[in-house]
Amino acid sequence: MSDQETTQLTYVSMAYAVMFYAAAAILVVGLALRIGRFLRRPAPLRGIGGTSSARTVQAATDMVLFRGTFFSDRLQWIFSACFHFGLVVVLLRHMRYALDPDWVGPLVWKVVVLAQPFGLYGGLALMAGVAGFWARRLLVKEVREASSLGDHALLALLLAIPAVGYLNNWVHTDVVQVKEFFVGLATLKWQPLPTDALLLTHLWLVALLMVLLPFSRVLHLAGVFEKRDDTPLGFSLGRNKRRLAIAGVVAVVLLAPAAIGAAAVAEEGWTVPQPDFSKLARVHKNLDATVMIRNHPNFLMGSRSIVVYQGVRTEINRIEQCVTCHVVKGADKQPVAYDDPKHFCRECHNKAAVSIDCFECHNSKPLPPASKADLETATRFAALMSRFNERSAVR
Amino acid sequence: MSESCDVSRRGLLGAVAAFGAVSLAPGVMLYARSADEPVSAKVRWGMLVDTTQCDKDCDACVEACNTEFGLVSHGRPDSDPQWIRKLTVTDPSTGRSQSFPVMCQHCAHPPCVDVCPTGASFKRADGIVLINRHICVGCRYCEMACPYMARNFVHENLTDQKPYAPRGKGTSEACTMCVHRVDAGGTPACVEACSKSGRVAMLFGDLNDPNSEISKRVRSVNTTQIRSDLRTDPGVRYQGL
Repeated sequence: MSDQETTQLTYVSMAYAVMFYAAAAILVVGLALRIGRFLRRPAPLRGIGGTSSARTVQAATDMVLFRGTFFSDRLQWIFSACFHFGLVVVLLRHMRYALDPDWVGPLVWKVVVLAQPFGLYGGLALMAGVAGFWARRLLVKEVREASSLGDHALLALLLAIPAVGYLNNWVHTDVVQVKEFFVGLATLKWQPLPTDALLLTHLWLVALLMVLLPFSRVLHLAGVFEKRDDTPLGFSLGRNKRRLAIAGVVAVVLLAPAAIGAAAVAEEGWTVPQPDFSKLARVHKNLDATVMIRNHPNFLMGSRSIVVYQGVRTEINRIEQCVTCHVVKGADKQPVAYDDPKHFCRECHNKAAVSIDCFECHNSKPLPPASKADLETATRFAALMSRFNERSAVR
Repeated sequence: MSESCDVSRRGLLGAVAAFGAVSLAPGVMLYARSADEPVSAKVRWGMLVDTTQCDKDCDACVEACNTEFGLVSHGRPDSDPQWIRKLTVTDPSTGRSQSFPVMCQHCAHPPCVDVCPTGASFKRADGIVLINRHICVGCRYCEMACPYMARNFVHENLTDQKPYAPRGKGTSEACTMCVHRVDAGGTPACVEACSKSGRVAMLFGDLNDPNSEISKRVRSVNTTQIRSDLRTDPGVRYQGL
């Protein structure tokens, strides 16, 4: 890797690191101020009788199950449930970027691994919820008239984040590197971030949401501390000064990383969705490792069809060859199986909570050299054939 | 596999090398596909079992299959894997008894492929019927559809499978006609073992090649397909049945 590339990578990573620190600070401080404002304000009449425990139960059902919405607007409740419960599962899936099996222990990690497939469906539920919100805003006359441009913009943002996230799932990025970036942010040991356009876009949109949240009414989480949320509708109804402040914050925090990220993407190019896998496999020893890290799932999927359906058992297509070259020897100098944390595949897959079932059927250890001779049967075949002929002739 | 067995195999290989040049006459090596060429329908792999040569007490083919694919008993004979099995049938009116192996018959019109809901069960272009276990959901419909009871279900978690023959819990499996050997230009393990046992009751080859030994044999002697009334057109034929 040349010096120039290294600098580019570092610029993006640094810019994004600063952006996430700033966004997190804005989110935390904004949330605190919002809660403080609610707490200072005199409480309105609640209309809830009974003991404090009854009130607690009601507050809890309001928070967790959106009880109030359920009884006032059933359709809205369906969208809310889709969005919020989907969000929970999605966040659980994203825990793989924040937690590490080495710190949290196997039990918690199992939960994170278990959440992975559900997170994919949770994201769909989330998007369906947002789409419902938006449809309601567009189709219901009263709501449409009460909506501002800011409301639509926020819904668009909430839809764009998971949409780009899903695209990330399709055009693979180096998730282990992404994890190291975020763990590095938390532990103050900065790591580079993969320069993938889709990944950078996803992260930038998330940062944008983090910055906008304290200023928008999406932050009704703070309303838990006060039942009646009478904050202004979005930022569009705010005063000019507030708008200016928001614009300033957005510009400082978000525009610089966006520009640097765009420059880096322009430099390195978009990740090609479907590279030539035959070529990729043939030259992969000479390639930058990240190319193979990103594309090996697609490559394996393509190869398995070639082997199974076409019977082309060449070295580049056989998973046996993958595990033979990428063998890791254990303490006893013997190749380790996938159960061992040191196994070549296991090392990253465990870290990224991506479970694979290749080795439930395939052997995760290399072909023993002796059995290769067994496959050299062409001449034997001919000999057996002649023997059969002999016998047939005799009879 | 015992050490002595290995030694005798090497001995055989040596012998093969010695007279290989003589036996490799044109047309004997039926089909030479280069390593990166896909299989084609120009070939139809088939097998011929000569029941008159098959010994009732010999199970060399079954042993060879179990060794080749690492099929081991889990102590439950009803559900143990069995890719090839020896059958002994007796005509009650004459008392004539015959013994022969039955495995996946690699039908031209395989019922297992017809019923598979996911498309996992498929027939390769060269006639070998296989299961793409990447998409098999383990519904076992193929096991019920197969008139030859050739398919098995994996009930156990498996470890240390043969690298060339992946197998896994929750999927159907059956004889692959040793597709890994055939693709390398070899012959199935059962056929090889049968020859090695000295009986030579099994013959493997290309049914589409008129010059192949198997084609000549099926042209000249009376062979039958099991349950030919079902019109599955098996690739495995039986002589003297």
